Amino acid sequence: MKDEELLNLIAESPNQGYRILLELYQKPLYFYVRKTVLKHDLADDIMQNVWVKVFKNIQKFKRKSKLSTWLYRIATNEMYTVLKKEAHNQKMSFEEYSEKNAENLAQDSYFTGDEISNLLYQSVAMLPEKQRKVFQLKYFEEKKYEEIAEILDTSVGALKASYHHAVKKIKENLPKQMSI
Amino acid sequence: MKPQKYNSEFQTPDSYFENQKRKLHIREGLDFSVPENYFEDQKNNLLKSISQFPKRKSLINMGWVIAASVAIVVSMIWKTNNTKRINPIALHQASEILAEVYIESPKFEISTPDISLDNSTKPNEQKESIEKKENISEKSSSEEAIKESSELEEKEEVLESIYDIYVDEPMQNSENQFWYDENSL
Repeated sequence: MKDEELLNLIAESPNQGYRILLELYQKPLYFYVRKTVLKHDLADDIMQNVWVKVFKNIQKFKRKSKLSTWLYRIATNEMYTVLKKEAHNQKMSFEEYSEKNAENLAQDSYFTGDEISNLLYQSVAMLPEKQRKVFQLKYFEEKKYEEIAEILDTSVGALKASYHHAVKKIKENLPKQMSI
Repeated sequence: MKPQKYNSEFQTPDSYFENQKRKLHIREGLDFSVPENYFEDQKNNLLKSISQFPKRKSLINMGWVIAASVAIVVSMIWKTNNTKRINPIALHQASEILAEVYIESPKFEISTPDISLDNSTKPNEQKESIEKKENISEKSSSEEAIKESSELEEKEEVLESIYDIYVDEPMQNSENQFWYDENSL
């Protein structure tokens, strides 16, 4: 279903429209958030907030960008806001919190990846915030630079540089982590 | 020409397919599991809560109407205090307040952060300058990187090299923890 059709359906028949919206985006958005925050409980809380914001604001969406771009933007903003709050609550810097969170990934009963996956998520968590956002959207979500630029509200040139740096750091970090 | 020749020339390394499967595995979030019926339960809860939105909205609007009414009465009493009659200017001002409250009230319902993506609401210059400041270090130190990364976009060679790290690294696990599950793909 095209964005236009879905948005019209939401306006005309909200219950049916929202149901389809959830069916289309519930899982991709959840796993996008989950791959960043890593914990299910946190991802669940974030997604609750994301959907409430989506439902309350979708009537104001002026359809000048893709619906998915708008949704990913809300999810990105929400998850980093929550992550920073969590870090603040635990009296840690955002970077320290992210690193600690990723280190505990292997103990998470809802994590089913293997050792190499675990190391990759840890490496991503160690990236600076902006590089991490770009890497997540480019590598995991396979978004185009133009769309990432819209989601993160930045220029394509800056994104490419960030992605380049992110990949370089991961390439450096992964073998080190593997040898530990 | 024999098709076989093309096959040998353009043969994709085995690792390519392996990498694609891994990438798909990660993209689908298959490294993570969720509680049973999680998505269905969440969907039902969200749809249930949506049905309550209009009620909440009307309650909020009612609150603003009451607040506006009180403001009008107070304003009128204050304005007419000396004259002992209703001041038409005060009445006009009060009606303006009421109209404004009606128009503005939806804004108070939502405390949403930056989620606008419409071209009509592009980030202002101030925001851009903050963004630029944040990027200065990266930009200044990476002019060459930008050039390089433009090639990256098409080739994604660096990306592939990440996969190569995994591929070259001997698997430490056996069947249970293999990178992907054929059935799940």
